[in-house]
Amino acid sequence: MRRVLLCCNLFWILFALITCIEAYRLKLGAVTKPGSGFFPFSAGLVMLVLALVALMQLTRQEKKEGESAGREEVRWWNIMIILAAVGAYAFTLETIGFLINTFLFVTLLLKVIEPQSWKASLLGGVIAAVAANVLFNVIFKAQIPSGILGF
Amino acid sequence: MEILNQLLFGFSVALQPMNLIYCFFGVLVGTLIGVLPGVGPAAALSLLLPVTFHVPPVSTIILLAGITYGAMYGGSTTSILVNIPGEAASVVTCLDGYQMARNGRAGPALGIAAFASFIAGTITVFILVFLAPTLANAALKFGPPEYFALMVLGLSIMVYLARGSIINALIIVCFGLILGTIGLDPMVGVPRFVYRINTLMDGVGLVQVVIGLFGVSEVLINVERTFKQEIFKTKVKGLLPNRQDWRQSIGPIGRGSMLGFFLGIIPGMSVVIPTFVSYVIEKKLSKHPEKFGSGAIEGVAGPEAANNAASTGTLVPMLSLGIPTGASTALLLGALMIHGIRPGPLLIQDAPEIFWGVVASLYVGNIMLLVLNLPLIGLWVKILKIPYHFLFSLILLLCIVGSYITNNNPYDVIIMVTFGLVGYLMKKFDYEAAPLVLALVLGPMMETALRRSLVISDGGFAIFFTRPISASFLIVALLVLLSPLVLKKKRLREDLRAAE
Repeated sequence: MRRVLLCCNLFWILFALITCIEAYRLKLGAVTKPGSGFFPFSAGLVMLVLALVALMQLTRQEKKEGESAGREEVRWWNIMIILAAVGAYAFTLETIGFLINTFLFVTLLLKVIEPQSWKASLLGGVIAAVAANVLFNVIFKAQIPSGILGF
Repeated sequence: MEILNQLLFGFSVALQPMNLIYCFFGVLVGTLIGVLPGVGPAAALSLLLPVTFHVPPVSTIILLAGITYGAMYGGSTTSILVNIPGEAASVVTCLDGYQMARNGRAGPALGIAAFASFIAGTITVFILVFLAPTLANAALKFGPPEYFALMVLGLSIMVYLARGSIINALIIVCFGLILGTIGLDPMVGVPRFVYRINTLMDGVGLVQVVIGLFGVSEVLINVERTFKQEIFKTKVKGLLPNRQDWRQSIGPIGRGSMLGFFLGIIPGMSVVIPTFVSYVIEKKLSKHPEKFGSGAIEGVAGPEAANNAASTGTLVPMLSLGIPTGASTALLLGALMIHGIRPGPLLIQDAPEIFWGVVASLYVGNIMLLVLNLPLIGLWVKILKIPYHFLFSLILLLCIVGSYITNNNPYDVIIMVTFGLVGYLMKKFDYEAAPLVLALVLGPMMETALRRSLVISDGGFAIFFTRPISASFLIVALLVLLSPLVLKKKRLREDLRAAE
């Protein structure tokens, strides 16, 4: 955990440094007339100082023993699959369309994350797709793309 | 007398059939959202915000406000019956509400929760009627330095109350402020941190960030481990509390209402903290503090009144100053701005139908919730029995649709899922998401106020300390941030948790 927190603080330091550099490029202006980069530069600078303080505090702390004991196994695959599925849904929505995409998305999640039978997964996918289409496209008239099938 | 006339005018707006339907729909969806774990009122507002683009502004705000206080009711039902707080403001209700259910007193617990919410809603609507116009008049004296200082105070309170270390919370606030600068510079129109990505030209969407941080991240946290669902079977009978229950509850309801409302006004306080404070106070005032945690009705009545009162209180700075106190009010503010209405001191004069219509609808909505919710308790419990592996895929689907239909842009979904991952990691590493959202909301307003103040003062930072209102806000903010050092790092939140 300590190593992870160190990485977190290093990430914030890097993020703050990049923000300051990019904000400086936007021009800071003068105090009488602050430019576009003034506010993000200030926020980045404060963040940099805070992240350095947090890093110093962490390095001073003694490493605790037995940190990893008793940890429950994390199912990283589930998280990866969900992130990939949502990304794929977004990129294919306009070509494949809302109805089919929703059916595929829900069926996949039901089959893979907490595996259900094919019958339950497919039925869940169909119900979710039809209900979502009626709710958003018919009732709310949200105009979500119908895609290749045209409905 | 004039206020009474204005209030009657508000009722004439709120009681129009179309507005009644929107109010009903809002409180119904709000209750449903309150019941479902993982989808808070902010995510629900995000989902419905794009749907309201074609709805008149008064109806929009009535619908969305209905969701926020409807969620308070829904959250309490599941807290009492199944020990699952549908949303954060109902966590405290689990402590004694669930124990009352286990002792066979689920009916009175649900009944007092509903009545406490209703009474708090009624009391606070009348305080709002008198306070908001007064505050709006006072706010006419506010210039950019006062607004900047008030927002600094709001963020400081949020940081103080955040989980984990204050330094981490401050880092998250800076992160939110930096994210808020993405897009066109509000003063000179220069694109910032856009990197030729057109989607970022209007900034990082609040809707996508909120859905990602609160909706998607909750799903990710739940699916990383095998989800165990336990539902305690109980029969709900006799919803009306008896005379003894009322005698024990009336004091906590009154105190919870006042406490919730006035704490809710403070930016950054949210509706969660007042419930904890109310619980602690009731426990301290009780002649039988040992009964708290084993089914004391005061432990349900006080916090339930407080969370409903706080959700009304949060509307005061939003409507009278144009300053949101958290994610939900930021989305309400966003909804008004989409319709070309600028909340602030002039709202009551310029758009009285909005202000008084919303105020009256709060009361109408509370009556609807009281009548609607008690008979529907069975339905809400059945919804909770839906296995989580079905529920999470539906929640994810709603998150995708909600973030997509804001602009009909697939890249918004990518932003949403990115913030879902960010929210997940923040939860894992003990960073709180609420300061990030508040900073993202207040960031652009703070920047404009800061830059205008510096232009007015010809570059002198002293302007923030020479004007009494601004100086007072900044001094209080400083005291709030430094208090953990002075008070041996003992923080209110920790005290509250210990008391819990």
